[in-house]
Amino acid sequence: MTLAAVVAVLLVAPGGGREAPPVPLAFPEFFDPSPQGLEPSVRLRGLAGKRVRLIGYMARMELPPKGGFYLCPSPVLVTEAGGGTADLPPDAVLVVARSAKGKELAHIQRVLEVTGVLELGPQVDEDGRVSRIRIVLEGPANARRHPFQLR
Amino acid sequence: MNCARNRFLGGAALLACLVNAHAALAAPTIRLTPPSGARFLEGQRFDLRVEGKGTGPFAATLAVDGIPLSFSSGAQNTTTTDGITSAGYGGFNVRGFFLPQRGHHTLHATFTDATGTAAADSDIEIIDVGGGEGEIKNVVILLGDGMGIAHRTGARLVKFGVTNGQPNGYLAMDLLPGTGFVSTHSLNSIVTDSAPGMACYVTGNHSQNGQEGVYPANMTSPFYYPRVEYLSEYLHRLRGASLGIVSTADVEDATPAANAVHTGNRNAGQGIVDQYFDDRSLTGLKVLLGGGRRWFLPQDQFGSSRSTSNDYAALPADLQAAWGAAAGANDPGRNLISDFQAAGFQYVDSATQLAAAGGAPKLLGLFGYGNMNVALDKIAKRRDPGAHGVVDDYHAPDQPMLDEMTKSALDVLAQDDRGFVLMVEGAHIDKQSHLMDADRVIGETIEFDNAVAVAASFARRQRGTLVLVLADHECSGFSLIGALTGGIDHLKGLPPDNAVTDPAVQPERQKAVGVYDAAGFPRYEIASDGYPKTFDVDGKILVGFGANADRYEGWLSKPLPVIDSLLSSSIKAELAAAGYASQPYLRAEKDFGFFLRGQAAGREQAVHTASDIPVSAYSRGTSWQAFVGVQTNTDVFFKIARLMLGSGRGRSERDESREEGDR
Repeated sequence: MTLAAVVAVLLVAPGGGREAPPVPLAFPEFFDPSPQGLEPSVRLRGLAGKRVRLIGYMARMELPPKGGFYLCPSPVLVTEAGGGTADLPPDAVLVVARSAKGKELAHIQRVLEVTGVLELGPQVDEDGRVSRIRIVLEGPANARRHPFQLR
Repeated sequence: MNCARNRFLGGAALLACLVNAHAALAAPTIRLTPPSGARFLEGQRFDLRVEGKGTGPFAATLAVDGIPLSFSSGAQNTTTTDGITSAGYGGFNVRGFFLPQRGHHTLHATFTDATGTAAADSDIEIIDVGGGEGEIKNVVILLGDGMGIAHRTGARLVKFGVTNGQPNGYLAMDLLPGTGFVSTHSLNSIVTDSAPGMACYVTGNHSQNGQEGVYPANMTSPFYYPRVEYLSEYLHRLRGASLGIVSTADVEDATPAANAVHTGNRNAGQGIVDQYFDDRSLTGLKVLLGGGRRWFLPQDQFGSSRSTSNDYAALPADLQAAWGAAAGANDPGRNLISDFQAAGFQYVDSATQLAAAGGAPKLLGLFGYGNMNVALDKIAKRRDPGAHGVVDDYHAPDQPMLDEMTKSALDVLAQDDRGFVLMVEGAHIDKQSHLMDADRVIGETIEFDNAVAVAASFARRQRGTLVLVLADHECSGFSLIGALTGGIDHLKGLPPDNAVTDPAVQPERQKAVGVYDAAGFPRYEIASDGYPKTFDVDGKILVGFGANADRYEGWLSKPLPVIDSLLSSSIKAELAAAGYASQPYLRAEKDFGFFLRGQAAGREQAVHTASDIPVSAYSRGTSWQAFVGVQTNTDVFFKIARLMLGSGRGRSERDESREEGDR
């Protein structure tokens, strides 16, 4: 499924009640240092359920997810290892495009700006993989331009 | 009765023919495992399974050399049979079987459903390897995942260079005396993946792609599939030997798991890491080092990938009883690091902690959440600790090199004089070959060779240690096609080629490929850490990929992360604030490289090939000689066993027929 097709579908996709402008969020803000491992930052937890804007790169995956893509802080090429996600950094965000449910999205080899509602917590996704951080894309009517913007 | 030839049949005979024909057409399918050609050690355990597809109720029989066997599971004349077989199939099992008599044995099975009966035969062989004390007590298998001959040559050329046609030096693996070739086919294809590619060296049996330590089956969980005993399990049962597993991959990955875990799904992460721990009393696991922390953290902890979707419910009772296996449970809330620690494992999560772990009796090291980062990215952080690097993006800034991990593993394993099996994997040789990132492939091969040097040094000091350098398969058709002409600055200044689609127009970057005489002798400056200061040198080695996917080739080192010069100022500022260095010429190759159409249709990445791989062997004494020549991947297992269990007898008929051919 191409980017254009996703955007076209999203034009009629349900939005998420978001009058407030999206809050800019950056990958380095995700975690606080902790001897126990990755501890979600106060800022990240505070933004759960809210509209956020995040810049990153679409992971290019041998086994891409359906109905979305992983957004990473740097360009990532992912082999089949570990269920197809072993090369992803732990803060990779699953960007959910509800209009593309069940479909693979064509890879975009550029920086992307994503706007949508932040979700936190483990969730088994369509392909059986576990995601921890998700951004559910909103319809372009509520996005600054459209849900994921080619920059 | 040959109905077609009988042109004068009466009515009753015709009816009989039709009934028989209907039965023949509708008879169930049958699969008998182990398949014909399977070979085992004396006493090596394996599961027998008769499985069929048809219309229930189902029944089955099984005989070995004409003697009927009783199934350990599978209710006769039922539709449910063993209760763990996929819908539409019936399954009957004999768990934990073994044969003590060397030579060929015939398995004969029948499978009956409501429409008829199907039969199958399998000829298997028990190899006599002695059963005593061999010349070899310890074996170190260094597995360069995806490493073919050209990967090794590339690393040697970069690290040492060539003068007047003569290499200026050799890799540690080049210097091991026992060199041969190994065919790498799996049970179901000439092209293997890493799961059967590794498992065959430590089970002596071919597995199906995607599966490790099992035969294929149609069952409700891949962890129920019929097992075949690993070398580690066999030696631990026989003499209390230990197992060490070291990898730069996520330890869930196919190669490390194919030394200790029995599963028909190489991607079932939680179940795989659980079985490492739960069946440590079967394998003698004492060292587990690599990436994959995400599988060890309880589900409610950030960074965890544990889920019921990738685990298994309790193993069948007959499997548990016959193998002494732990039941297992579907337990995403489990804290596996704590379990390892409670069982006496010292846990480390950084290079610093690993270096301080000397003397640990058992060792668990998890240095990344998924795969560890590649050598060049780890080295970049060591060279410039203050700069934001790729390893920082992965929240693992202090990762050990593979040679450091190997040394730590040997320190632990050498404490026990009952011997050990240690598998050390250079995982990213394969992964970066998939990604067609030639410079990182070569960097990874250099790192792997440093681990070979550590193991060879150990073997020189420690009599009775066999060092084997292997690969599970070749990846990408890696090929050294020549060297850059015109210099690296010239290359960076070339106009984009990405719009060139006319075959009559030669891309600028193709003109820069120096072949034959123009390739000359590339020179890389090697830093004190043993790695090139940069791969982007004048006259750099250029690599082609014979099994490639569609790609854009620009010949420059693949930069990660990238700040694209075409980005808006605001985005650049935001990325710069996140710590990414700005290097304007570093753009995605799609923007300037020339397009190459890959042969692997529909693939995003280069693929494995069916090419043979090189093996190099070393030991004190003459054991290394066993690996000279051309052999199959399963032969390697029996050669190891023969050297460890002490007999020059036990030659397979295949060996004998070869020798007869020689004579």
